[in-house]
Formats: sequence, structure tokens, C-alpha cells
Amino acid sequence: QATGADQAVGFGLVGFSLLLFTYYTIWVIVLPFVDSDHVVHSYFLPREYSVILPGVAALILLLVVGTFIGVVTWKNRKPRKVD
Amino acid sequence: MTKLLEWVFGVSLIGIAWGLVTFDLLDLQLPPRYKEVAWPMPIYLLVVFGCYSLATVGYRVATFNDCEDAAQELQAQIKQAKDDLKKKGLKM
Repeated sequence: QATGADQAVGFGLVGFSLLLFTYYTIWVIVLPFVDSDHVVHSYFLPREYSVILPGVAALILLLVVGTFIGVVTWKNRKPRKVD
Repeated sequence: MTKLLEWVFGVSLIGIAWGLVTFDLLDLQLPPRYKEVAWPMPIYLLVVFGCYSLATVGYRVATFNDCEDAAQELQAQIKQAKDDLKKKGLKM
């Protein structure tokens, strides 16, 4: 049986991704079919952000991964041997 | 036909269909609501795939049984590897 922290983190991830999926699906697929004066629209950003935000998130992820690799590589650079 | 070719073919078909709808290349006179749903589709599918991956990882973390012995052994091996690499000069 998986214990305490593992279960918490695991099911936390599941819950978070379900939330994200639901919000994003309503934003992208449901909202265009809802009248523009319905109150639900006030809970969502303008449509452009549904493309910009994932794009920015992907960029940040790439930056973090690249920086980590760069830092570890830099720390382990060795001077060239003189023959 | 190789799996790669199958995938490339399938993705191209879907991509062309998406392009036709989004950029109105066939002059289909689609109602604007359907175009509104169509143009974010690539990013939407990517996000959905990401959510599915995250949920799968999370679920498997939550339901994987603990293995005490394997955990101890792994910790010992990690320490061994760290010491070995430090000796060889890697700085973490």
C-alpha cells in the first residue's frame, strides 16, 4: 500500500489536472456557444489568453530546464589541457 | 507502412483539416462560433494531453505499493553513486 505523502501528492496531482482540464475545456469549447451577456463569461479571461498562457508556460518550462542543464554544465567545465 | 509514416499521415490530415477551417481556405462559410472553437485546437489538445499525463503520473504515484527493502537499497546506491562521482570531480 502506498503511504501518506505519496497518496497526498498523487491524488493532489490528479485533482489539479482534473480542475485544469475542466476549466480549460469550458474556456475553449463551451464558452463560444454561450451568449455573450451570460454571467459565466466573467469567470474567464479573454479568449486570446487561452493560447497565450499555455505558450508562456511552455516557454518558462523550457527556460527552467535549459538553465538547469546550463548551470550543471558550467559548474563542471574543465580547462583545456596544454600539450 | 511504418508506424512513423502512419502517424505523420494521420497528423497531416488532421492538420490540413484544422488549417482549412481556421484560415477559411475553402470558403466554407462556417458560423463564427465553430471557427472560434477550431483555432485554439492544437494548443487545446496539447494541454489536454499534458493534463492526462499529469493525472496518470499522479494516480500511479498514489497507488504504487511501498517497497521498504528496495527503498533502502536504492538510497544506498544513490549515496554510492554520489560519492563515486564526487571522487571523479563532478560538482552537484
